[in-house]
Amino acid sequence: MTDAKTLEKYLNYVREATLSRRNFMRNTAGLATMAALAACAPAAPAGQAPAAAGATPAAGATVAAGAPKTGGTLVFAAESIGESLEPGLWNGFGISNVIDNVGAYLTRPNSSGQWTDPAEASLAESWTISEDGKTYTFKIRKGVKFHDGADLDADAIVRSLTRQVNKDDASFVDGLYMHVNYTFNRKSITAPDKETVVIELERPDAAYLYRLFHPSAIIISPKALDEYKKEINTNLISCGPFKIDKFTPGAEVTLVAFDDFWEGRPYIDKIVVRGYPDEGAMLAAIEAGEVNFAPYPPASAVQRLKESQEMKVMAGPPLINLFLGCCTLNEPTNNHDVRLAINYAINRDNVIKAVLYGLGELPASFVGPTEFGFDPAGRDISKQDIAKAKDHVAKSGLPTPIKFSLTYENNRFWPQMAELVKSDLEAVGFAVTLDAQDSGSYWGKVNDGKSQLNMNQRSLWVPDPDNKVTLLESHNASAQGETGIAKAMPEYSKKMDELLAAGVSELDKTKRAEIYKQIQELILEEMPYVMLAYYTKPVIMAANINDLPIGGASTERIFLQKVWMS
Amino acid sequence: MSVAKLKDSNHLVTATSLSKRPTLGRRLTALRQKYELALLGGIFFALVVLGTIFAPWLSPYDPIKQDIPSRLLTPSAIHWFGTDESGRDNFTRVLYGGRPILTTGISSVLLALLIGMGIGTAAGYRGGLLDDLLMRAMDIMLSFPTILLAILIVASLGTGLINTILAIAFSLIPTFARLVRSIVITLVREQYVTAAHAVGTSDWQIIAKHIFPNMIPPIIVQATATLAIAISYSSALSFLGLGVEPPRPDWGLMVSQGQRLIFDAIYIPFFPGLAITLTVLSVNYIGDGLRDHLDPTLRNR
Amino acid sequence: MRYILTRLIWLPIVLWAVASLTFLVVHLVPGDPLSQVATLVLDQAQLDRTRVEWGLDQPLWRQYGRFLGNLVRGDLGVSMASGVPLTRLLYEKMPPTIELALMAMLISTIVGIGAGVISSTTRHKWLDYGARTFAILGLSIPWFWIAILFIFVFSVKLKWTPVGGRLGVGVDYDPVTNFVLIDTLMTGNWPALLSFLNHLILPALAIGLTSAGFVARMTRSAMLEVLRADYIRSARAKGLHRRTITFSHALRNAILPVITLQGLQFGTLLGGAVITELVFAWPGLGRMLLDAILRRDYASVQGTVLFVAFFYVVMNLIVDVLYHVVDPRLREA
Repeated sequence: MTDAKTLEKYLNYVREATLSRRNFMRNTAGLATMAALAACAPAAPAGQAPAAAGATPAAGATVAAGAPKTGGTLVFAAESIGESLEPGLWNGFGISNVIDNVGAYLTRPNSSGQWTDPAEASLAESWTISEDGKTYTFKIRKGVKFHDGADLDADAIVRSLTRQVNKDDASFVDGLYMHVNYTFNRKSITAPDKETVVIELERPDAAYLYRLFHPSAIIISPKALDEYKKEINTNLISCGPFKIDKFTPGAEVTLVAFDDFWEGRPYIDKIVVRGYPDEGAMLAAIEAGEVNFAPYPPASAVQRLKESQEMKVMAGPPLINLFLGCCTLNEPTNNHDVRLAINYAINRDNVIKAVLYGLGELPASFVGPTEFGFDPAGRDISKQDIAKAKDHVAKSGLPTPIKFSLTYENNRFWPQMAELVKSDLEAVGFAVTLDAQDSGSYWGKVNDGKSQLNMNQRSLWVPDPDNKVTLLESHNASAQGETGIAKAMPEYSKKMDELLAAGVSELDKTKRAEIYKQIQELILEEMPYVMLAYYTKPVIMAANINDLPIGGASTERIFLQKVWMS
Repeated sequence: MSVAKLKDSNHLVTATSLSKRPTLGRRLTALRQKYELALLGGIFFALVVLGTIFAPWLSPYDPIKQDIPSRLLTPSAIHWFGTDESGRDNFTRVLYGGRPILTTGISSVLLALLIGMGIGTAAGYRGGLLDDLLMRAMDIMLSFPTILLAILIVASLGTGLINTILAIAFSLIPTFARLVRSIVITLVREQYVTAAHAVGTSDWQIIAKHIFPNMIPPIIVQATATLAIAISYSSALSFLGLGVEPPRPDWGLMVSQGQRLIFDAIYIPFFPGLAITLTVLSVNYIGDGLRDHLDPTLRNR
Repeated sequence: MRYILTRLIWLPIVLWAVASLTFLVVHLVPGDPLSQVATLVLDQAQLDRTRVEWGLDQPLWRQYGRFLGNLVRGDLGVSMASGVPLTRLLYEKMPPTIELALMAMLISTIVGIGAGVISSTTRHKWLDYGARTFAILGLSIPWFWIAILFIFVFSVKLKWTPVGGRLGVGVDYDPVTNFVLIDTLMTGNWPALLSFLNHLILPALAIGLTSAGFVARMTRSAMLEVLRADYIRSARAKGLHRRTITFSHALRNAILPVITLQGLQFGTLLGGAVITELVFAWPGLGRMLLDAILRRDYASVQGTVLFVAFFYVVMNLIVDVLYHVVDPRLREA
C-alpha cells in the first residue's frame, strides 16, 4: 500500500514539526490523494479479516522487539474514573477508555493506528451502502460471544443501538443519554435475519461509519440488558477484547483479557484503570513506577521522562484543538475588528513553547493537519502580527483600552494559558480581566452566553471533520453559547448550517473537502473562534509497552487490544 | 465549660479569674522568657506583612509580566528561587503571593468576628428562645465541616477576593458566636451587671460599659487563633483553584500549579508552601503569647 | 437531663435545617448540571427532556418539596451525572473515608496525647519545647502541603509507601462491608490487609499529624490544670511515685475531655480528607463531594453533604450527652 507510506511520511512531518511550508504542502496533497483513493469505492464491502489488517504496524508505534508476547498488567492512569459505565452518558475520559476496550462496535477505527479513514469492519463483517448513501446493510460476524456467554446476532445489535432512544427498553432511563448522535439522522434500524442489520438514514451521512464506533454505540449483551436493566451502568457486559472484573465507581476499574474474544485473546492479561484527578498525584504515581501507562500526563513532565530509562513518551498527530471562543452576544467581542485584533495579537509560538512544552503546532483552523479537510491557508492568519492587531483595534472604533474578561477553567494548563493570552492582548490595546471558574461554573456561564472571551478544547472522537465543526457551529449545538452566533449573527449562522449540512451529506470526497475548506474560510473570516494551537497530547508509558495505536490515543480514544508487553 | 465551646476554639479561653502582680524586674525577665516565641512569631509575621506590602521595592521583577525566553531557570544569584513556566521570578511571586491570602485571612476573621459578636451577644444577653434559635443555627453551620462549607459557598458565589472572604467568614461565624455567648452569659450573672440593671441602666449601656470591655481579651486570643485557620483555609481554597483570580500570584495556587513540576523543579511548589506554613506558624505563636498574657487563668503557670 | 431532652427535641429540627440549607446552597449555585455534559449534546429537545426528568424545570419550592419527600422515605436520590443511586455510591465511598478518618484519629490521639503528656511533665525543658514545637507545627502546616511533601519524600524518593490508591494493583479483595479491615480480618486475607495498611498510613499521617497538634495542646493544658489540683498535691504529699501520679491520677482525669473532643474532630478530619484524598488519589467521600460540587451534580452534593452532616450532628449529640453523663461538674451547671 503506497498510501500508507505517504501517510507515514506525512506523520513524520507531524512529529518533527519542522518541515518547511513547501514540503508541507506537498505532503498535504499526498494525503488528499490518498483520501480520494479510499473514497472511490464506498459501496464495496469494506474490511477483510481484521487480524490481517493488524499486521501493518502503526507508524507511530515503537518498533516492536520481536513477536508480541502474552501476559503483563497494564496500570493505566486515567484523569478520572466516572461513577457510571453507561455508554450513552458522558462519564469522563477514563470511562470512555474502559468502554473502548470492553466493548466492540459495528465498525472500528482504521488499523493504521493513525486515526484516519476508512473505518474497518468489526462486529459487522462487511457492509454495502446504497447508491443514494442512505441505506447501510451490515453483515454481522458469526461466532462472536459476549462476556456472559451469549451469542451475538443481528437482534442484539438492533437492541443495543436502539435502547438509548427506546422508552420501552428495560434499561432505558429517560433523559440520561447524552451523546447518542448515531441515532439522530436514523430513520430505521431493522434485522431482516439473524445475520443482517439494515440502517436507513434520513439524509446521507459521510461520517456514519465513524459514528458507529463512538463509545455510545457499543454493542451490549441483550441477556445482560434484561438481567441488569438500568443497572447496566455498573455491570457493563459487551463482547470486546477485555471484560470488566471489578468496578469501583469514581475510583478504579479492573479489566481482564476475554479468552473467547472473536479475534483471539488480547496479549495483556489485566488492565487496572485508576483515576488521578490531581496532576501531581498522577505524576508521583508515574515517578514511583506504580503506573506504567499514562495517556493524560501534564505536558511539563514529558521532557524529563523522555530521558528516563524505564519510561518512554509517544506523541502522535496533533488532533486536539485549543481555541478561544468570542461570544458575539456580548460587547466588545461582538465587534468583528475586536475578534480579528485578538487573533493577530496572540503569539502562538509562545503558547506552544511555554504552555504545551513544544507539544503543539501552529493552527490553521478547526481541522488539523493530519485530518481530512485540512486547509493550511489559515496558518498565515494564525501568525502574530502586532501591527495588524493594533490596526483592527483602531478600526473597531472602541475607546482603548478595550475591556473584557477571559473566562476559563481553573484546572490543567488553562490558567497559564490565560495569563499568556492576557499579556499578548494587553500589548495591543486590550485590558483583560481573568475570570477563572471551576469546570461546572465555566460551562454554566459559557453555555448561557454570559462570557465574553472563553477558552476551551475539542478533540476528534471519530476521524471526520464533522465531529469537530458541527459541535461548534451548528445553530442547535448546545455549546453554541461559546460564540452565540445563532442569535447574534443569524445570517452567518444560517450560511454555516447550510455548509455543515452539505458537508456531512456530500459523499464525493473531493467535493466534500472543498466544502470543509469553505467552512474553515468562513470561520476565519468572521472569527467567532480564535485558534490557539493544535495540541499533540503525549502518552507516557513504560518502555516495555508496544504497539499502541497512537492516533486514537492522541485524541483520548485508547485501544489496547493489540498492545503487548515485552 | 461546655464541650461545645471547647470544640470551636483551638485554645481554652475563660473569661474570669484573678491575678497577682509580681515585682517589675521579675516581671520583665519572665515576660521575655515567656514571650520569646511569640515575639519571634510577631517579628516574622510583621516581616511577611511588610514583605508583601513593600514587594515592589524589594524586588526588581514584575510578578505578572511574562518573559518566555527565561522560563524555568534554576535558582541563582539573579533569581533566588528560579523562574516559573512563564519566565517570572519565583521569589518576587512569593513576595506578592502573600497579599491575597493575608487580605482574605484578616478580612474574613474581622467580618466573622463582627457578625459572631452580634449573634453571640444577642443570644447570651437575651437568652430564652432567641438564644436557642441562634445557637441551633450555629449548630447547623457547625455540622458542615468548615472547609466544605467554604468550598460550597465559593462554588455558588463564584471565585474572587470578596467571595472568598465571605465564604471563609461565614464558616467562622459560629466559633465567635459561641465564644461571645458563653462570655456574655457568665458576665450577665455577675453582681455588678445585676446591680446596673437594678438602677435602670439601659441594655445598650450595660453591653457597652460592662460586657463589651470584658469580652475583648478572650476575643483577641480567639481571633488570632482563628486567623491562623483562616489563612490555612484561604490557601486551601486557592490550592483547589477556588481562590482569587490569577494572574495575581497566590501561595496556594502557586503550590497547585507548581505541583506538576515537583520532580523537575521542586523549589517552584516548595517555597510558596513554606511561606504558608511559616506565616500560619508565626500567627499561632502570636496567638499563644497573647493567650498566655491575656487569659488570666493561664497566667503565672 | 433537661439538657439532653432539649438536644433530642432539637435533633430533627437541626437535621431538617441542615437538609434545607444544603438544598438552598446547592441550588443557588449558578451553572446547570446539564451544562457539563451539554457540550456533547446536539439536540435541544433532548436537553429539555432531561431537564424535565430531573425536575429542573420546576419552581424551586416544588423541587424542594420533592427533595424533602424523598428524604423522608430514606431515598437520597440518583446521581445526576451518572444515574447511579446515591446509596450505592455511598457504599463505595463512605468506608474509605471513615477508615481514613479513624486511622487519622488514632494517630492524632496517640501522638497528640503522648506529646501533650511529655510536654506537661517536663515543663520548660527541651523536650517540652520539642513537643510544643511539634504541636504548633502540626497546627500550622496546610493539609495539601504536608500531603505533597510526604508523597515526594516517603513514596517517590524513599519508596517506603505507595503513592496513592487504597489497595495495591495485584491485590485480591472482594468487598462485603467494604471496610477493608473488617473484611480482611473476617476472611483472613492478610496480603490485602497489609497492602491496605501500607496505602493508608501516609494519608492518615498527613491528616492525623495536623490534628495531633491540637490534641497535644489540649492534653497539655488539661494535664497542667489537673496537676495543680488538690488531690494531686495530696498524692504528692503522700509520697507517691511521680510516674504513678502522672499516669494513674493526672492523665486519667485529664484524658476525658481530650477523648471526647476527639469524637468531635471527625468533621475537621473529614474536611482534611477532601484535600488529602485528592492528593493521595484515595477513593473516598471527600473526593466524590468535591467532584460533585465541581460538576454541579445537585443530587450527589445533597446526598453526600447530608450524610456527612447527619453523621456529624448525631456524633456531636452523642459526645455531648456522654460528656454530660460522665462529668459531674457539668451536670450541676
